[in-house]
Amino acid sequence: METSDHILHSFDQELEDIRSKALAMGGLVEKQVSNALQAVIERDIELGEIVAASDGEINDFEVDIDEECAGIIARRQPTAGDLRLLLSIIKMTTDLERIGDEAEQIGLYATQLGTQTSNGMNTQLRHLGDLAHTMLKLALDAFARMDDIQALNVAKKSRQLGKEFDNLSRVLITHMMDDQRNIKDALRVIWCARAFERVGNHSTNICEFVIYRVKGKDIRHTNLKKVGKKLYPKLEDNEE
Amino acid sequence: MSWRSYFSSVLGHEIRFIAALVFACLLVSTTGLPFYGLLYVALICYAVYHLYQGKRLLEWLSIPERTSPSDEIKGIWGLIAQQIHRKNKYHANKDERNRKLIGQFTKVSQAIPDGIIILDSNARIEWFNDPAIKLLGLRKQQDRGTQIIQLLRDPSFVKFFQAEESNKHLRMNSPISDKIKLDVRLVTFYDKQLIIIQDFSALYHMEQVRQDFVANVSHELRTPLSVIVGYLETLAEEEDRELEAYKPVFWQMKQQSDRMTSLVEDLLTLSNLDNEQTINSNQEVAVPSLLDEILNDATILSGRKKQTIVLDAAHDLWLLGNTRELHGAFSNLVANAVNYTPKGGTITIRWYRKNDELIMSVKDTGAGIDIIHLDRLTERFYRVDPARSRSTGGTGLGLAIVKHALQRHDAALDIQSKVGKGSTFSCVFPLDRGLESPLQTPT
Repeated sequence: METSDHILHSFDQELEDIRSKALAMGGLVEKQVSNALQAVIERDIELGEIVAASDGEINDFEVDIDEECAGIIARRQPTAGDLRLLLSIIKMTTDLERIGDEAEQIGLYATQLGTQTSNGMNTQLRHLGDLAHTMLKLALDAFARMDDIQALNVAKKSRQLGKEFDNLSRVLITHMMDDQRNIKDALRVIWCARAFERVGNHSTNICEFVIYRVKGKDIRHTNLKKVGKKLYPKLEDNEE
Repeated sequence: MSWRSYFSSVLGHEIRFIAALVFACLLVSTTGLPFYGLLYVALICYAVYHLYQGKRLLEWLSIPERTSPSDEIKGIWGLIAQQIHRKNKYHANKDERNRKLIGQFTKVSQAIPDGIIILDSNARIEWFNDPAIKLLGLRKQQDRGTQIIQLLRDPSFVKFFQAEESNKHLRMNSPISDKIKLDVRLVTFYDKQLIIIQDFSALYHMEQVRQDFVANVSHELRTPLSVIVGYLETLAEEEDRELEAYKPVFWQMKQQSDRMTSLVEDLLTLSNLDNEQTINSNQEVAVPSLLDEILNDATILSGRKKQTIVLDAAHDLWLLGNTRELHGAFSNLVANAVNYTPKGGTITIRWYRKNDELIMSVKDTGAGIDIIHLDRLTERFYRVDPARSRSTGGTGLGLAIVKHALQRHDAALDIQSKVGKGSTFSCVFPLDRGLESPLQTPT
């Protein structure tokens, strides 16, 4: 890692451990999301049940990490980069926990969808789900490496996510107009899609914390293009 | 360096030089100049000469690419220069050899198709080779010094890594793509750890094809078999006089077809156990009532054999698992016991907790099994006594099914047996799968 060492070696170790813990939680959430996606796409009811039932571990992680962060802040009074790291971990766990909740919801819908598959909806949903899952994975990778450039790129994908969601809605509306009996399933699929979109958005938040940690700039609720130009003038020039 | 060689090689030169100086002083002193004054001047000259030689040595040392020292450096200084030169050459050779060795090692490690990662004592990545980059998506410069579990976050890996069970395997998907299947091994050496990653996608694919084949074949065989059995049944029960002579044949045919049906069913069960990656093995299973059910079935199966079947189950002990699979495993064991225990024998089914294990055991008073068979008993189609087991109607797959089902519950099958005394088959579950009965125990 790029952080310079502290005189107190144990402090470094504590920071490193809490980072690992946060990322282990991330790994768990990643697995939940990919399982949820698989359950929905393959209409695997049993897998859906497992996903819906295993949110507890993630919640435990969140409580545990928050407590440890509070402990470190109280004992060490960290400043600058260390403080930002701890703050971003605290915020990240909240987002991860929410993603876990969304996965749980998707698992529940998967159990209700039944075993019939209708291909038209499935491909679109898979696109959306894959995109959300990749965003989450890349966001966590960026956090592990503190790679702010990758974080910015992932954050920019949220627009693509919105587009995918619109596409899916359009397909679903045609489905519903075709045959009223499709409405029930289509509604469930759209709830799933909504959940996947939320997963992607929470991943964007994680990316924002990475940039906050590295650059010390809070880029929430701002125009990403402008932020990119300001923080990484060279990079944006190359793109154009 | 011995004194003698020191005198002959180093001081020889110096002594001759000093003697020449003294002699020159003596010669000059005959002209009337004071001898000691001359000697004084001469010694100062001698000292200056040495300083000059020292300067030359330093000059030579400061040349970056040194060749052998020039002859102009004389006496003790020349000797020092030569020694330094010899040492330098020796180290240069050694360096060259080491560099070659390291280069070779690096090349070899890159040529190995397996990914290799070396971790330091704090689980940080110290070194990894190119295949590791390809298989796991690591980054060459950036990822050194990062703790491994920050990059490989798959919960199964985190658990595997923190358990620190050396030399064990883990099969997981690559973080890059679910299509790449990895076999991960952890080796501890000194205070470091070595992770060896193999790509077994091809093997996995082959296994998949084989499993699918077995599953499909058994599935396809089911329908024609049920048709045959149906007709045979009708034929065997036909009251026609002309067919009377063939009746035993029909019965035989039906019996054998039934055997084949159960074989196909077992094969299907087994391939389902192999295939299904995702079962919910966290259901709350009421083992006592499950065993009650099995006991009833066993009594019916026992029929006229007049065996005593005893059930002794801890009432408030439940299990986290999959009801269907546990039922399959337990009833298989009990059915075996019923089949292999002679008339009037006793079968004891127990369900209890022993220290930190939960045990379901089936004890019979049958013929027992010779110890040489015990290891291979759970293999598919392994038979202790082929003639006998066919007559009892077993398929040869029962224990394989039990073993597979237990494996999916982190449990093991333990077999104790003595020839002539009987056998005990125990399913040993870890304690953390146990559960207090959520129901009120009946008083």
